[in-house]
Amino acid sequence: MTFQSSSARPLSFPLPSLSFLRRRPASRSGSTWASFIRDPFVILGFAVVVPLIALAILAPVLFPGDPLSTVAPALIPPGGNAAFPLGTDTLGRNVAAGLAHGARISLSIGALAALFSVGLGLAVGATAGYFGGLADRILVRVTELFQTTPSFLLAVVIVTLGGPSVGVIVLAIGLGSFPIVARLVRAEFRSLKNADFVMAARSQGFGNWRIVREEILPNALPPVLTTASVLMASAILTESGLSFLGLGDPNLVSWGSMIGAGREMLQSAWYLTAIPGGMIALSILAVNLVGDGLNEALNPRLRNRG
Amino acid sequence: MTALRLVQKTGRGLLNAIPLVIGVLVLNFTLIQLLPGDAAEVFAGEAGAATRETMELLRIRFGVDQPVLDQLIIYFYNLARLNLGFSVRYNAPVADLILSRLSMTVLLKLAALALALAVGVAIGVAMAVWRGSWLDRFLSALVLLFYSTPGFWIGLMLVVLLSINLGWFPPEGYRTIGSGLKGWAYAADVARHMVLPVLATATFFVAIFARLIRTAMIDISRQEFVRTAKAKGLTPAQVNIKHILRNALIPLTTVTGMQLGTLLGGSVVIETIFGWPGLGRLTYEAVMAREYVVLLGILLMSSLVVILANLLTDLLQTWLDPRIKA
Repeated sequence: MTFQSSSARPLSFPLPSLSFLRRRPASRSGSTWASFIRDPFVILGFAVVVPLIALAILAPVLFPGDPLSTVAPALIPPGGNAAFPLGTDTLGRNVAAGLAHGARISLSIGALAALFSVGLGLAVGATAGYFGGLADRILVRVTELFQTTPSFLLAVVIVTLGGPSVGVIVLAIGLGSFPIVARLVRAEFRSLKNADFVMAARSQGFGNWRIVREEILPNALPPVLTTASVLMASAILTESGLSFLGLGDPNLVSWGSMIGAGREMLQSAWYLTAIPGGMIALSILAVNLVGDGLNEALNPRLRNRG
Repeated sequence: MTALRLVQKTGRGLLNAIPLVIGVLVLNFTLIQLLPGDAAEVFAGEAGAATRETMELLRIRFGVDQPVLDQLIIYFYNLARLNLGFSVRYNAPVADLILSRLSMTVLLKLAALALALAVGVAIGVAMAVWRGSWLDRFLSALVLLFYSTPGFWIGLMLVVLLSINLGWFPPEGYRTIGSGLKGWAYAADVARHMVLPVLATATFFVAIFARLIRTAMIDISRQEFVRTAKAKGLTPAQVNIKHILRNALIPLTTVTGMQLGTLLGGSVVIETIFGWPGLGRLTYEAVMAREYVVLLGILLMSSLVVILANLLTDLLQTWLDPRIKA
């Protein structure tokens, strides 16, 4: 099976463009950024993402102390006590504090894992696409390998072997998702390396490194940026799954681990599961909205789709 | 299409899959090398204790006293005989253990995939045919919600609503224990247990398929042959189904193939929640018990299943799309 060659493969998959939600295509007049920041869906996305990031940053200020420590009687329902607006869990831990501190973990692991996949994908894809030949053949195989291996399973195995620290989790998630970036970058580099402006740069005697960095990379970057947001959304999802299974850092609270703990009380205290899960869905939704706005603004091919 | 082309395509596919299979094996071997302690220590640890002499014997038996390259060859040799190691906890060969659980996972995943395809294609067609309408926007929002919500959380919420509060479906397990049901009654009992895990698995894929069908149908509807079909005087329904949807199904097969890994990986969390005795549940148990041999065996088998499934997808695609050359 060949992942790299088939005319029938859809171009934009697995990039989920949400442009279909729009009443009309994004404005073609004005600059890319202007249309990006005027996009109502991007504004909606940012309206969620920005407070979330603020919550993550301010968590130690808003909720000082260890969110894993017992602060009140167990199982106060939401709204039952003004000091604990979202109630407490089975061990008397403040749910609101857990959510705030969990935002730190979910968002930072999401961002770091996306960064790691983009870095690795850029390195692999650029080398394969620019140099071609044997390096290309080997790297395409390696990429295929990681694309074939079920990524969540790979993450579970790596975290079980390597221990549940933030670094290992980032690596485990990133390894599963870099193929998307690598394939994209390789395709861009293959088409761009023979472009006129690259020829011109080469004829001026520029070295490979300079051509890659200054001529090709800036042109190949826009689709990568869009993909990064999708990767971040899926990394948040994967992290929540891992920590739900008890494979998160045991000393840190995360949304997934809150669901895992709350699950035991599904019968009597379903909100302990519902609240952190809602946060995960909300943040993934928001990141997707922003990412789609980026896609819309940066990808001229999508502009006149309806 | 001719039988010859199908044979050629199969041969080429198999040839292409070989380096991938070797890659999967090497990746697994590398992960085994990363295990804390060598295989003999892991085995001894799982068995409880071992004397120095037993350890030496174990080392020789596992071949860990050999150089790494020789170990790789031993590993390949063992795999060729379907020997994936031995699980102390289950007192069974890992290969048997995995095969015995595989069918339960396949049953669950196929049901979820079938549901996701049926609902996803239906939603996608509705969105494409009535694009821009209120229906399109409502379904789009729904699809976006499905796409962003973790399946396992949807599963837990379904348990709260449909199982704990309404009592319609059992919250876990795959059959009513001690019911002694036989035949169709047994099948119906298992089906009732499947409803919630299938729904929890399917939502994400409904979103992916609906999205894809919508995009593909809109792209195809702008092509020349569709204009010709309309000019011939075909009804909109005929054009939509026979000309547009049929062609939109081709990218759908590819994407379905690409999503199989996600589907298998997702079973870890879903089967853990619903106590479904499949491969995913086994993975969770292996993680909890730190049974690395079982864990790596599952990773290996799942990768091989994905490779095989992708091979079949490619064949299906050749059959669907005569333009793809053998």
